[in-house]
Amino acid sequence: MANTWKHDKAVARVEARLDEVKNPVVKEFKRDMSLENIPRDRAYKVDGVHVYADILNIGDILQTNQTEGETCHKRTLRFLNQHYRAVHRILSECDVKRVDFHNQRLHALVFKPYNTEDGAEAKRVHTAVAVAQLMIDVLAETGDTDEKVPAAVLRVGIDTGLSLAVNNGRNGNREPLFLGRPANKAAKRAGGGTSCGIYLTNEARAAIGLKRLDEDKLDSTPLTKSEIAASQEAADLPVDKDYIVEKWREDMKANPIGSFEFTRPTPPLKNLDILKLTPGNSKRMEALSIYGDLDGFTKYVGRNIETKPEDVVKALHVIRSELDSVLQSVMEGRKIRFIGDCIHGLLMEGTAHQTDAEASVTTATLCAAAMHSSFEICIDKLKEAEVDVKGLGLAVGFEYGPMTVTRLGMKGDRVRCSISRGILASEDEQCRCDKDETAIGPSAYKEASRAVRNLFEDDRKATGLRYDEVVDLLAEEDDKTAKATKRAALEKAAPAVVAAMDRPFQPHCKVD
Amino acid sequence: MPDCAAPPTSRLLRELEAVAADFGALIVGRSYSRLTVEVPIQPNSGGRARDRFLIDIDDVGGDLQAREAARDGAGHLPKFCPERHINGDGTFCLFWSEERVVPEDRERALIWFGVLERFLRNQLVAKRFRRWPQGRGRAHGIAAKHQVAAEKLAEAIGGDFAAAWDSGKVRVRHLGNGWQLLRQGQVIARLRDGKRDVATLRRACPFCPPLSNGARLLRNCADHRTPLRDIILEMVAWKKEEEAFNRRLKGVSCCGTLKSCPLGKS
Repeated sequence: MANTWKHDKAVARVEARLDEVKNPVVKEFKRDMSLENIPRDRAYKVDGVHVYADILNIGDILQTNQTEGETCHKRTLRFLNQHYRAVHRILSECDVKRVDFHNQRLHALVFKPYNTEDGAEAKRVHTAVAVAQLMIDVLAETGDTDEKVPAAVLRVGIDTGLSLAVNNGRNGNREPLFLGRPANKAAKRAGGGTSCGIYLTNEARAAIGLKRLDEDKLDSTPLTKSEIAASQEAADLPVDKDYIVEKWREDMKANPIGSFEFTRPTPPLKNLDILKLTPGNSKRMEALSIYGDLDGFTKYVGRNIETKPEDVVKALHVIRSELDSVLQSVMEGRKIRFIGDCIHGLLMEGTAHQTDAEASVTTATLCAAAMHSSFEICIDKLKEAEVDVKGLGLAVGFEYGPMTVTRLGMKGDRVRCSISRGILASEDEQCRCDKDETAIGPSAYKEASRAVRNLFEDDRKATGLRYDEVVDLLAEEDDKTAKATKRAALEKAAPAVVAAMDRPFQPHCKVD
Repeated sequence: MPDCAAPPTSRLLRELEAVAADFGALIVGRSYSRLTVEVPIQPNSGGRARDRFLIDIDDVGGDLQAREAARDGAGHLPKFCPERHINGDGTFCLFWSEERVVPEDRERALIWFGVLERFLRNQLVAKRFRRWPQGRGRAHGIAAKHQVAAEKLAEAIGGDFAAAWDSGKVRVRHLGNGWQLLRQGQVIARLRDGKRDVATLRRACPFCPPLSNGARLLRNCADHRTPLRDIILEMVAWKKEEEAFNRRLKGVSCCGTLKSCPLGKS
């Protein structure tokens, strides 16, 4: 399939998105406001405690079989489904907002009590710690030996402070998305190691009277048992582990998970209706997972949240809308979700029966290049509109392999989930990129055409990919998909150039 | 300044002028033996061309020479870069002499102009990625003759070997007292210095499928024994001529626009 990115259309889209947020409204979040269904030109400054909980043993579950077949994925999804349900119960009983469950990573927000109360921040942090410990204790018991679903091992990160709540950019979902240091740092603490426990940033530690640690000790110093006990006493949660586990077992009996059934989606993936998915109606296919992340965004939010939060709203809306358009409208992939300032999606070429691996990898490469080209337009237009964009860049990573898409959790409150080894790997690929870099995973590299492999250096990274030149280079080096893309792009505007593509081209150099 | 009102009298330049519009190109100057053309590079992302080259095409006794027409020092291209196929006098080496196309009619003019446009388009690729597209260029100087001969031999051998050749996975290296031919990193044949046959002829032919009674030995393989030796000799000659070409350029400054270049850094 020849999917062509068009420069002028990208400019038009970006200008339209900028117009939608020309006068954003940013307010302090207060008691009488709602964090649900935030309009796209609005943001709330929320003083809250961000909790990120990573299920550490997800990788083990995915690796239990040598081959990553259906059984492996069914077991992984069942594992997550059981634990999502337990977490749902905990958060709703403790009045903590679930922001998102991004595969193995939960993001929750404690925003009560409000700052009108004395010592509100300390109370929020204590509540976060107590809820984190409750999750750890409950999830240690919500496995199922009969179904070979182990208990979950959690590592939790907590930070406190001001963040911006914005629309999460997802149809049919009301939850907000949070930007800023506390969400980012909590996630970093959760992802900062392989040991379980509860890890606080220095801001969170200071809020509850714990001494500061050196930055390099934060990821290796979990809260002690006595520190946790102190928080549990201060928080005085309305429920305990036994209550939650009992209620969870009742849920499981009354609403058994049922079997996971997979079918293959028919490409293009842009037509996949995620809202119709359930455990019994899940999708599984060989495909590309792609992550695009705004490099430098956390610092950018930190710099602007007090003085120019409107710039943050404009920049985020314009950039992520355009990345979404490139992935879905142009490349006909499927966006799974935004995770803060990061977009995650899937791409696939082929038929209803078989994925064309080489073509899929080329499409992902062209998608990455188009994202970088679009990002450049976004920055130019935002600068013209005098929006601060200093320090912002785009990092893209992708990987190939079997992928799953479904929705998990309680009926009526299901959360989309797309998990596999390749998805975890694609996120790792993006994480090793700086701004303006793109990284390709080893499986995608293996399936790639010679031209795509040539594009990436020995470390499987490329810098400065832009759509026009990437199409030309890949087509010149005989990549089939790129050649079809170039033909489709130029057949009307420059048919003589297209005709020349099929003729010999071997320049020489003779002069000494 | 060339007289824009007077049409060129060169037949070859008239043929090129007639097809220029097919490529969106604009004639901005003409004289007896020169056309100056603005060549747009139509982007794959559509819209108006964002890059345009100003090119002088000179007819030198029936030999067409194209170069960037530098105006006030501004230009896209380095003055000399063998890796980007720009000769020492700034002319573009669009074809190896034995594969040259002469635009004597419309069809060949379209081919010639198509090569020029593609050459300029690839200059933009080289600028961004700091390398020339792989497999799109003849070896330098008279090494090209040996390269073409080796290509023909690879094509005649066919099969997996030809596929490996097309992927750039066939090479030679000197080790000990002779040369080795490698396919995808594996040694498949050896030719000792000064010898006329590959060593050893008692080995299995690397290109023939196994027979029911075992592998066909090279000494019995009429199809491949000689081509195998010849391809090594051509590849060795190719390598040596390129090294000689690079030695002749010693002391010449590298333009610094590509990641890797035999001229090295200036």
